[in-house]
Amino acid sequence: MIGVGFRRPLERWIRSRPEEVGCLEITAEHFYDGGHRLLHELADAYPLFLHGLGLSLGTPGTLDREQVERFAAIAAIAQPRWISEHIAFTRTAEVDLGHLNPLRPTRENLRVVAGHARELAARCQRPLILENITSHLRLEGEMTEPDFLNDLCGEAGCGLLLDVTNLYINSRNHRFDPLAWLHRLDPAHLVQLHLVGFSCTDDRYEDDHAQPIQEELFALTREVVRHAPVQAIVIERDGNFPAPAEIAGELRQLHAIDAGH
Amino acid sequence: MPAIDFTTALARLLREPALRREFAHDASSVAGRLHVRAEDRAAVVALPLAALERQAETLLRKRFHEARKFAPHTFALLGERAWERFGSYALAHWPAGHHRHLLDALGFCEDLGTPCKSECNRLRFLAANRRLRIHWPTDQRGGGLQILFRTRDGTLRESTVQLGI
Repeated sequence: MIGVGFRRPLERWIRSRPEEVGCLEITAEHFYDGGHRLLHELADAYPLFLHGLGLSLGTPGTLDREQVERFAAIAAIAQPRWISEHIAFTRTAEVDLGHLNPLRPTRENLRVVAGHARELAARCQRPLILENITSHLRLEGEMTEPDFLNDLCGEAGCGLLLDVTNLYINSRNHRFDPLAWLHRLDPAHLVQLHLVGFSCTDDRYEDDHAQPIQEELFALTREVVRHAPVQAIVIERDGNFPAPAEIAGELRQLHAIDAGH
Repeated sequence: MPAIDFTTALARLLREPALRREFAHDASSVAGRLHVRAEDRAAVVALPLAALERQAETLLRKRFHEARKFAPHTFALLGERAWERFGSYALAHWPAGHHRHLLDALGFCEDLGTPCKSECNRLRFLAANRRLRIHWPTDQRGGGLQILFRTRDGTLRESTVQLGI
C-alpha cells in the first residue's frame, strides 16, 4: 500500500479518492481535540495507520498515562491496521522538549523502550511498529543502531517503521554508508516506510518535511524494498504543500518502485 | 539531590544554553554538579559540543516552525526579527503536552504584547477549549466582530461580521 500522511491542507484532495492514494497515516495528536466524525469517514474510505509523536517511549519511568489514554481513544475510533511511535524521547520528568531526541543504544534503553512499546500495543490492542529518528547527535552505546533496532523489535514483539529520509539524513550528517546500515537490519522486521524530501544548508541536512522527494531518496527506497518488501510506504509532508498533482506524481514513482522490487 | 540518568542530563543540556556554555568549559564538573549517575557519567562527558548545539538549535527551529503555523500574521509582522524574538521567548518557556505548539504560539504573541489581536483571540479560544467567543478586535479592518465557535465535532469555525458603523 502506498499513501500519505493525512494533513488538513490535503483534505479536499484526499476526500476526492485519488487513485494514487491507497492508505492514510493519521497523526493521533491532530485528533485529540475533535475531528472524530472526519476520522470515521477516513476510516470508511481508506486503510489507516495511527502515528504518535509525543508518547516519549524512551523516557525512563512510567509512560504519561493521560497521553496513552488519548492515543488509545483515537486508535479505538480509527481502527488502524497498526500503530506507530518513535524510538526517541521528547520529555523527561523536568521538561517537554517538544520534539524527538535520540537514545543511546544500550541494553537499559532497549528494556525501557521495549517495555513501553509492549504496554502501548496492549492498551491499544493493535500491532505496534517503531520508527528511527534523525538527530544531529550520534550517541554511542553498547551496540550499533541497526543491532539496537533488531533487538528492540525482538524484545518488544514489534515491527519497524523505517524512515528512509531520516536514514539518508543521518548518513550524510554523520558520514556513514546507508546501505551498510540497511543491510544490518533484519528484513523480517520492516513493515512500513516514511518518505519526504529533506533540506540542506551548508552541508547540514534537516528533515523539515516541506520539500519534494529527491532522487537520492527514491534510489535509497529502491534498495530498501529490495532488501525487505514492506507492507506500506507513506509520504509525510508537513509544510510547503504543493499542488496535489505533485504529490500524486511522487506516489506514482513509489508505486513503480514497489512494483519493481 | 538524587542522581540523574543520561537522558535527563541530555534534556537539561539541550534546554539550557548557559549550562552548555559551562559544559564546553568543563564537562566533568557539569556532570558532577548535575549528579549524573556513575554509569552514565563518561557518556555525558563525551557528548560532542558542536552536535549538542546543533540539536538544541534544531529543537528551537522546530518549535518556531510549528508556532508560526498557529500565528502566521504575528510572525509575518515581525519579519526577519521573528527568529531572534522567538528564540528569546522559547528558551524561557517550555510548554508541555499535545497543545505545546499552540501554547508556544499564544505565549509568544502575549510576550510580544499581542501585536495581532484577532489572531491572539483565536489562539486563546483554541487553548481554552471554549464553545463560543465574540470579540471586537481593534486591529480588524472595518470594525468587524470576530465570532469564534466550535462545531459539535470540535472543529474551529470563525466568521467576521461587518457592522457598518
